Amino acid sequence: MIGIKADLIDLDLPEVYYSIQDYESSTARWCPGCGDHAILTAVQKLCREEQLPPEKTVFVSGIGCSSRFPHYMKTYGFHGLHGRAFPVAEGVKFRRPDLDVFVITGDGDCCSIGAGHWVHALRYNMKMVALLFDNSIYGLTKKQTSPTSPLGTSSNTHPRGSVLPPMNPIQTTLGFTNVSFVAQTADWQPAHMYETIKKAHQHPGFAFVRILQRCPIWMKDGFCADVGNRDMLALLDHEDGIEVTDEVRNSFPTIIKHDPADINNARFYAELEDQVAIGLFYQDKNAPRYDLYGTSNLDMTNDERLAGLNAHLDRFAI
Amino acid sequence: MSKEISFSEFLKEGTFREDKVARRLEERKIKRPIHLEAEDVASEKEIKDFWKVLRQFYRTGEKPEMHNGVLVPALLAPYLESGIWDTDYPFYCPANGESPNSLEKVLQNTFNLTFGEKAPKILGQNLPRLLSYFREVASLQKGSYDFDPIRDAAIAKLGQLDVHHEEGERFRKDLADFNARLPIGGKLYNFHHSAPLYFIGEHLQDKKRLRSAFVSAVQKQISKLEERLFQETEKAGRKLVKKEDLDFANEFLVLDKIEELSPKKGSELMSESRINRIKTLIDLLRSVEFDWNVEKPYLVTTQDRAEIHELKEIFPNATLEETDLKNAFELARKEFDRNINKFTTQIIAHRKAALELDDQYVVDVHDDYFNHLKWFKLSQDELNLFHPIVLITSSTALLGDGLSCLSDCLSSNKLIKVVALTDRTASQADPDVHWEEASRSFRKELAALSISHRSAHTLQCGSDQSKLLFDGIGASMRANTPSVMQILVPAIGSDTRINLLKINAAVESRYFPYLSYDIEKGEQWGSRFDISGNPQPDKNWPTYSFKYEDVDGAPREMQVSFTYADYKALTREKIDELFIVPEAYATEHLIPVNEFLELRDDELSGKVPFIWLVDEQRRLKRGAMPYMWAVSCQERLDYWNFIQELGGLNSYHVNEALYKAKTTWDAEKEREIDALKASFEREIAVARESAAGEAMERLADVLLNLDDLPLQSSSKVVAKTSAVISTSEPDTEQEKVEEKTVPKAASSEAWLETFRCTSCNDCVDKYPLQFKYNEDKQAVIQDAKAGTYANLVQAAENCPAQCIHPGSPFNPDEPHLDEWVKRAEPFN
Repeated sequence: MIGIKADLIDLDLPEVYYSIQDYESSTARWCPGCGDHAILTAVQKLCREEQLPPEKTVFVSGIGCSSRFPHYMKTYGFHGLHGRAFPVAEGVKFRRPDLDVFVITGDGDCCSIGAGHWVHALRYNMKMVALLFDNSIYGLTKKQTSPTSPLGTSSNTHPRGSVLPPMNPIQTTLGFTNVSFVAQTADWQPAHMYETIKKAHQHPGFAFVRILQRCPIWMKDGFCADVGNRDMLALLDHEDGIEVTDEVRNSFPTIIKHDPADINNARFYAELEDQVAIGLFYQDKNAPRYDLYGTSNLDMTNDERLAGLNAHLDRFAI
Repeated sequence: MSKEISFSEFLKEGTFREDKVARRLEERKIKRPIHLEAEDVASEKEIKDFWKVLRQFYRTGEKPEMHNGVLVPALLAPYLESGIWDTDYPFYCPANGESPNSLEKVLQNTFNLTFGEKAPKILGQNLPRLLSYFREVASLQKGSYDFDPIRDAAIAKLGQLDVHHEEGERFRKDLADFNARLPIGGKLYNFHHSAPLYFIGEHLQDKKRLRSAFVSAVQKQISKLEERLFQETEKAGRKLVKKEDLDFANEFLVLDKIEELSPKKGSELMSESRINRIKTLIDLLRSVEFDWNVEKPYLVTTQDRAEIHELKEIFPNATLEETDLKNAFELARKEFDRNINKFTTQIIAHRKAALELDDQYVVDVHDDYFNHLKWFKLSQDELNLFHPIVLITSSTALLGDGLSCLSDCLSSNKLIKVVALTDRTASQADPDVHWEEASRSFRKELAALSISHRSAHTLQCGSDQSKLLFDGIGASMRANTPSVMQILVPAIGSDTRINLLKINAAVESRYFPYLSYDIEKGEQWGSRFDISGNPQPDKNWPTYSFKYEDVDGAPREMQVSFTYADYKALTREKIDELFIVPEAYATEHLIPVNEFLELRDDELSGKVPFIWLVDEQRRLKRGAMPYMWAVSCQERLDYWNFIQELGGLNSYHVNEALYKAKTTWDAEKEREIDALKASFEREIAVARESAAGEAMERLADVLLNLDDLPLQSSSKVVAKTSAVISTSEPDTEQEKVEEKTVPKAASSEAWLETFRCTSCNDCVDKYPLQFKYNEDKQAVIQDAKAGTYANLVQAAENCPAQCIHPGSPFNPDEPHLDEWVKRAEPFN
């Protein structure tokens, strides 16, 4: 009705507002110049922009440099078992749908020891954001070859250069059943990275983001060298993709129009030869979600549960 | 589910409790939305039998004895259930008389003024909260109260919002800036049964300002006129300097010569009669100066209203008279006659004085003119200075015995403002008249009667929307004609919030439509009407989309009109007059009343109208109505259509003319189009023939003059093709954009591409004076000159994101500058 309108108290206004400082915990102990600093800032910025209540936000990590992340966030966190960040996060989400869950994992944690959990996390498609900090080396243990180290990377485990071609995490995820959100970004592109994480956070399902991350100590020749090389990255651009400002868009020499609904093209762009594509590869908002199944009986009362149990037990009655 | 939530609680007046609102909101979230409930299917025979009873009910209004329980009109259910609704009260009137507005608008406008394009997010989001704080404090007040303490309290409360660190500092600074821009002083007005009277008081204050401006203009005139007279006495008494006065200089002065040389000013003396005229004028003007500061607005009220409103508080600076209605009109008329003559003489004196000062007063012409100048010939601006006589009474009294007095008053065209307040939010049955008869009789409409006097300014307005009411009253008070203001106010002593809803519903349901008739808006009858204050004025009934769940729980939406029957159903006693039809028996013969009223007579047979209702369990129900309800809806619709036509909407004659014009126009255009098509086809045929020949000619030309062809065009084509080939991807979606250069600033000052900063802490840790983080924790240059140029270059070299650009050196005395400039080169 025009004259009367719902009272303003009815508006859903937050009672508390959070600053970036409300999400900052101890000083980050990553090496100077490490890409993780940029990711931390982007995530804190996201928390502030979306005003995520710290007590309703959980960061779960495995083991590795990246996995120190929960210590630096003033939210709930779980610095878990090597490779087992996904199962912990799934457990949280399964019974606490009200929490915002982020999984922080690295190329060793996710693609090596945790690969089994990784692929099933993709298939479960529970609503959470998974950030893969990919510096293509084991940094915490001082340089061993990781599954994503480029061919010929000299490390403690392969002093004469690694002998196997690296795995492509984007291609892997795109190939898996029920995948619903795959994006790639680079830590030295903070604006793009922020928008990507934001898009991932809005996604109704499992959002997988691989972040190309510099390691200035153990992989000096890796992405660190690419920071000044503007030709290395190609931007995937689309109205349904990652929204960036014209300033950011124009800083990319190569822009590829790519519709994130098209999984075949996504697979093609995942394997570009001379360049690395960043942006949203694939998104399907309608993929089935396992967490919805998990929460379907949450509002049952104790009596109802008891009655259910009894009904089951009664089936065995003679 | 808690049993405490009930409409009945709200419908019982006087039980509204603010503190329950929050809980209600919570509970509303858990409960099932408004829905249709599954019911057993009825057999054909059952349906038939049911409809027999239903039709009987429609004809006679008699139905099996049953109570319908608590039901409310569907469109109002969400509001009534939550107990939450509001309009644009409180209303703010600044102390200096500048642009009064609803508080909500004042806050929004101040916010826009303070921040312009750069609206701060948190404060912007919290403006509604600030308004609700205002309202919280305001709800403890009566009809009118001071703005300042309420503002301070509300701002202080918002200042305690839970926001800290940088955001908190910014928020509190924004709030302080905002507060500094908020107006100071002034009054706030609540939704209240005296609200229209407070607004009249504000407009009288406005008049006071106008009048004091006029008084100071008069004072200036007096002093100028006195100066003139003084000069005249100077002139008249002017004597030549006598020799004896200057004996000490006798021999040096030739006084005769001096007199010849001195200017002959004022040599023409004013006539005695003009001097007298000016003296009389000054006396008259002095009376303005004195009278106008003492004179008070005159208000006369009837007893019924005087008991309700605290008039002495509302109009502290007015003469108040209390009497019966007939006498009131008599008093008002007398007071007007007495005042207007004096007023006219004073205004004439002002005009005369202006002429005198310009030496333009011509006795033969002007004396006659001014002697015959009556008050109604004064200009609008002049008449605006007059204190109108205000008569406050109730509509019921006016429509009863007072009708002839009112008619006399309006036809006499005297500046008497009649304020008719009514708190009858529902028609009350006259016990002497059979209810069937009562429903058939047409209502007396005060506004329509007033409009029929043509020259009277007429306003009919609910008091639910403050700005609309304030502006309407303002126009009415300013009009230089008699006015009638019929205003729907809440009844005293009842829950004002329920009344707010009821008054709003009265306007929405066309029971009490908004209407203004302003003679000064134009020469033409139609241009004087304004009905835009009504919801959806072009429609018969305002129609809204209504969301509910169907039997299977699927979300549905339908268009529901808010009719007079819905308004009627808002009254508890009336609900039992309806017949609730279970879903199983709802056939196509049961139709919404708004559609029912649009049916032709031959379509009506067997049909029964209904309205949508919602019960306490949020079940959607159909309430069939008896014939008399349909008749009274028709009566209201008739009156509304009458007003619509006056307001220039849905006019029968206009629609007819439009229809005719459109048909002839369409036919004409059709013919034109056909003619054009035919000629076009002819031309095409001709063109085709000639084009073939021309093409051959051109081809021959080209072949013969091949050498002269510009080669560039062909090379361009080649370049383009190669570009296409180079992006040799499987599909066409990829496109390579040409390399774009990153914009470089003129390399004089250091600059930083903040959006590329990766927050690695390097620069801010090492050179904290030169670099800092912004609110997004990305580096910006704080003060490049707070350190050395060498520092800047080192920072650029260390920056892993390579986003620092040191620019050129700023201190020529810095050691090893050449080396640093060289090292800076790759980063500039």
